[in-house]
Amino acid sequence: MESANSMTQRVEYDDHVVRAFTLATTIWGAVGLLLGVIIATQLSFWQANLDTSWLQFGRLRPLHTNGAIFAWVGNMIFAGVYYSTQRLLKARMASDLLSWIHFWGWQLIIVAAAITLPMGLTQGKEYAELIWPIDIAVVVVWVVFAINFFWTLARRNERNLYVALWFYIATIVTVAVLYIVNNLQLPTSWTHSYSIFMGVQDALVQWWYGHNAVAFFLTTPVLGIMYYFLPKAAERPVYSYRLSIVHFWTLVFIYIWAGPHHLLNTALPDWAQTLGMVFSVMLWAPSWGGMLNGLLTLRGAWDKLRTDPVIKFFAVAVTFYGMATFEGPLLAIKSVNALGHYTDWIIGHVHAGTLGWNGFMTAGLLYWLVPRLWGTKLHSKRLADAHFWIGTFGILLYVSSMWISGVSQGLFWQALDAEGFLKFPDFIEGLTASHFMYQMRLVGGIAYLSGYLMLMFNVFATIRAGSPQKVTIEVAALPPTGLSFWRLIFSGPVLVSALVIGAPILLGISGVITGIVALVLLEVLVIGLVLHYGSRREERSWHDMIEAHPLAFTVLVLVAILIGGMVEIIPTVVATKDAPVQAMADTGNYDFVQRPYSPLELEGRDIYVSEGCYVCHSQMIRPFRHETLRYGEYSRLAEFIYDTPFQWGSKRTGPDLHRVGGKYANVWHYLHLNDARSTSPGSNMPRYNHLSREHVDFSHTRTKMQALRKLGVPYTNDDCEAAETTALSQAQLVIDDLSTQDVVLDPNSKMTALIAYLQRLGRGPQPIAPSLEELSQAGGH
Amino acid sequence: MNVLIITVFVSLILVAAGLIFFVSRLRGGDFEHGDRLSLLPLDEDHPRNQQSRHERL
Repeated sequence: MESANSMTQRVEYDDHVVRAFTLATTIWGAVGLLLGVIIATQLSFWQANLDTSWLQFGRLRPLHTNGAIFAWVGNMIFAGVYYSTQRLLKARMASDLLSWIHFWGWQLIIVAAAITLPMGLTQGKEYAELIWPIDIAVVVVWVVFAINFFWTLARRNERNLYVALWFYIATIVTVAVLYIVNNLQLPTSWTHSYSIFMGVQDALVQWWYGHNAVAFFLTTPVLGIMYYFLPKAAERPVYSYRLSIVHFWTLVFIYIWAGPHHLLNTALPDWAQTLGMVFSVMLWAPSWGGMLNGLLTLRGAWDKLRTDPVIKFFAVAVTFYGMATFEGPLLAIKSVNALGHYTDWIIGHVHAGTLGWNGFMTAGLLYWLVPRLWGTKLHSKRLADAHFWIGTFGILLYVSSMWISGVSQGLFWQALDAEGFLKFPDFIEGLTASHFMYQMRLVGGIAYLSGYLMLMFNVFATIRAGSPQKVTIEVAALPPTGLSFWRLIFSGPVLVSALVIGAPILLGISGVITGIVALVLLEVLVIGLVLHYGSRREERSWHDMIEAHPLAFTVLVLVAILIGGMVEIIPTVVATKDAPVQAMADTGNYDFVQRPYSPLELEGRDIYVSEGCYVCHSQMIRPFRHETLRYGEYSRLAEFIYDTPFQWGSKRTGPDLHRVGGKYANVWHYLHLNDARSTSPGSNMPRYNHLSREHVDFSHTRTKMQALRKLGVPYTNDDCEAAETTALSQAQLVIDDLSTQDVVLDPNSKMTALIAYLQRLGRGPQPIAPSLEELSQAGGH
Repeated sequence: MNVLIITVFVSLILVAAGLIFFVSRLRGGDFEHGDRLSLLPLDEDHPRNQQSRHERL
């Protein structure tokens, strides 16, 4: 930034980094979508797993989701944020160095994810699979981004922050909080760690993160981009700035509460489930407020739909935002969720959001941005139109096939005959019935990818025809505002909002009578404040002042997003591990009280996590008759207290496994893991015969057990010291049993450990050494 | 049941108070600053207080 004269400043925008992020999103988008097509092929044709552990569905699916979210949409967000922030603040980004550290750091993280996830190095939590060294890199790069962004806010030449910038602030603050809390973990090696949360605590924290990764990574920053780029493309201001104020505050406050709707009808405490459901339904209002604000911005510009591909993409993207945010709360209603959860319906729902909302916003942004960044016209509008139609066809085919498949699966699983027993007891029937829809999904995915490849060609042809542009402006210097931070933080509207939010929370804690007294007092207070504040006339309104004070604005956003998380997570996390165990003891039912995993079972569990079994199998039997008939006794909270990471799963391409222990013989598991078709004809599960060849390094087991001990698992010193011996002793039992069926297996093999873990699921401790009777028989007595 | 009646009654009063507050702020001109701010994204295309220049690098 340099001075043109005493009253004005000359500002040259840093569009180099915008161009870099633009190219990155263009390329990573193709990679993410291609991975989607590959795993869709694997679900239709199991042979596409290629018998290579690196390319199996369980490992590639996390790579696909991480690639689509963080590489494709992430780079798009950064391109949009860097471009619009500079122009809305009339200031260059504060530090070119930080901008480039952000760019290259993010790309290195993506590459690291692309290497480690296919290697099976994962935390085993959805959208949070990256191992701890990469997590640290993510936090460092995110902090660099935040410093650069807030530093630029401090150097701005526009007094007020436009609505797009509020959404960026909410994104930066909330993602930092979510990512750090959910990734608190204890490393056991450079590539392995255990989450500090266990069981239901881990489940709640994970889905508080997982849901809000969708909310604050895939939604709020993209809404900011919508509020900036849609008016530009339509050449008219946003329909209602007032509505955007209501949209913003209600969205950021309510969104954070909705995480538990991913855990409805599970062992999560009922109060948390209900909060998640109620706040999800409340989300309808702000989401649709934002959608309508976007669509109505096009009032008077609808004719551009015929001629401008950018408007086409933006209009359909916002429509998909509306559809996805209608469907989300619908699925968050407990009774609807009972049908839809674990089915392909959820897959259809998330792809309506990602392909429709995020994907088409990305396309609209690129078609608008690239010609301006390179000072030329879009290479081909007709090609962009073709991309629009083939992409729309792809999404609709994908989503409708998953809807049909998902609802069918839900009804199939629930169906009972006249006597109240399962009408379709064989799980595999439901899967084979979905095969056609899986193939339709694949066609839809290929269509969408084809459209995206057209975009790539169009973008690169446009870049080739143009050259990078330098944009400079002369802008009037900004006088100091003189606003007081503390005056804003303790202003009337903030205090009223705090009381209105805080009182119901206190009511919930304090009991009915105290609650009603507090409610009445609150009412008196609110009316008093309304009368007091309503009669005041100031030169500037409250929100006008807040918009001119980034620090006060950021603090209020932080408070708004922390409330929901604290109310839901703190009571669950501070509850002692003994509580559920004691509750079980009080009922005299000890059968389901958990005991720590044996060393071999622990290693088997880590293999289960590493292979990504949780992406297709749940470990959570819901308390429904059709579930208990199919899988066994419903899952209880106490059974998971030593599970880190929790493995409840979110999808059942295969059946639930929580009570699979003891259901089949060891040899059944051996055959099933080698080729699932041998025991379950029609299965699309990959072959895991590599597990027989690969070995567990038991020398690390002691370190893992010591780490778990620090986290509260009641292993003794002797348990840890004897880890290797105990593991081999239990392994010997498994292979001895297998040898009676003419199966030869190495006791150190991963297969042995995984079988031991599967046999433990849903049961108490299993024998870890030969019994005295067996020993005496072996001794010839 | 009495609890429910009191809770619903008090909640309705709170909603009414909120609406009164909202309307009073609307009439007090709290949101009129938005009329100018909503034009910010269009500044680059229709500069009011700035001059912009695009050139090849």
